[in-house]
Amino acid sequence: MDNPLSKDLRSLDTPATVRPFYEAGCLPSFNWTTGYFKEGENLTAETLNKTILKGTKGCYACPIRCKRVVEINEPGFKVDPSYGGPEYETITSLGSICGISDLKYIAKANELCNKYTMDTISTGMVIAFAMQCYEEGLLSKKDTGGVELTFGNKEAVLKMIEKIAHREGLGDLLSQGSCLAAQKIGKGAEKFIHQVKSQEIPMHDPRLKTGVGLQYALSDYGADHMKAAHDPFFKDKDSVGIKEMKGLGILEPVSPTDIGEKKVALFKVLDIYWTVFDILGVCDFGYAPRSVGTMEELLEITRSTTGWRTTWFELMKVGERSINMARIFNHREGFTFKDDTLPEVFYHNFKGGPLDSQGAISKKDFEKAIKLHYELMGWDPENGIPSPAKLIELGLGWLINEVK
Amino acid sequence: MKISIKLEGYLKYKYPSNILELNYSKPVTIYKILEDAKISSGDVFFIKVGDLIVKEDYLLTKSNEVKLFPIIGGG
Repeated sequence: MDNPLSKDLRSLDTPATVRPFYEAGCLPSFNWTTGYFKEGENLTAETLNKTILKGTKGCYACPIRCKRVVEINEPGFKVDPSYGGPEYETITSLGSICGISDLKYIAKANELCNKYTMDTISTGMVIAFAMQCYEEGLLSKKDTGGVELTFGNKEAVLKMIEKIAHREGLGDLLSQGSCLAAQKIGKGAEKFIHQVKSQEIPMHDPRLKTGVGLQYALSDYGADHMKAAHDPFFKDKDSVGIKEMKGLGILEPVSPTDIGEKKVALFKVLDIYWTVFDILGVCDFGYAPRSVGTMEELLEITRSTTGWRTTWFELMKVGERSINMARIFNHREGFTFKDDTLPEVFYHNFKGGPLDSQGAISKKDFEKAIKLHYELMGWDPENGIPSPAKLIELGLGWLINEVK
Repeated sequence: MKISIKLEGYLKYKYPSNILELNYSKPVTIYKILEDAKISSGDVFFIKVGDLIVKEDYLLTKSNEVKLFPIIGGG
């Protein structure tokens, strides 16, 4: 396999992201109060490979094999390899976000979440939220059922996962997510939650990738980091995204931290393109710009497996149709433009580490970007509702009554 | 002055050696170093010199190690 991006995924997989983020000081840590995590070396892909990795698994014939297999077999501490190993998101959300730097405990927490079919990002985030509430005096030891719920307490993380899974004590409240938990705890707990549409945010910081911020804000199902390709793929004229995606009209580079017109226009195309991935059921690690397969190859695979003589023009319309239908579904269920937001933390500079006092996104510029996105999508710029004309264009005229 | 370039992540696979060394007789920008080492800035997300995260216009005035971190996607 010659593609260097794919080769890196094969050898280190997504945990490869830990090192650059911790060295740059943007590894989400201590419930997003800082990006500086001085014990980050303990969480890197290289450390994982050297200590607990037992092998990899993958889908049929996949050259990347992104599933990590880890195993720990120590007296009184075992991790079952059948539940897989922690990915980048899990290492961070059950690790640095909770102030934990022990990969063995993160692997155990990952095992428990997978065993109970709980999302590792939301689980880690809701525990980190509770840790901050505990440290700030909003929760007491009586509330936690005797658990010393401080940042860095790795045994406490495992206990809280069990409590959430079995809905015991504080776990019952946390099982409903940090948004609802904050409302019930009160006393200003809302300022410790970081969510969009009640879904806890993933572990990529929009202050360094503003397009990821647009993903978080605009995702119909709450903050998601896999709604579009990330900004760095388009940062330079020689970037892989610029080279590989000209066919979709992506011709000009845009800085990862830019939040102007070019970024919004780029995001629109990437959002639709990624939605096509979801509809086709193909892996995000399989195709340009993230990996080895080209757009042309994906089109040819789609044609040959379905017998459908489709084009990228048609596929992009399919993607856009899906986004508009989801938008109308949310509108019907009571979501409004006010839900297309970013957590407050991203409008402030980083604290500590190499990026200290830098990075804040301008709230005014971000809100302007959201409005522009509405317009580019053919939605009402004031309320973000799809226009009847857009619905007609997409063959969704039967939904017009829903937007009146 | 001697500038060591340390490549991280997939840059190790894309470029021939993961540690490159270049010599200069006067201050030099990161931009010039990347050009001389034939490393595309399109592959580089973070540049670290000592404890600092710097941009390509950063001027190096003494021997140093420059760490290059690759572009990062989601997952």
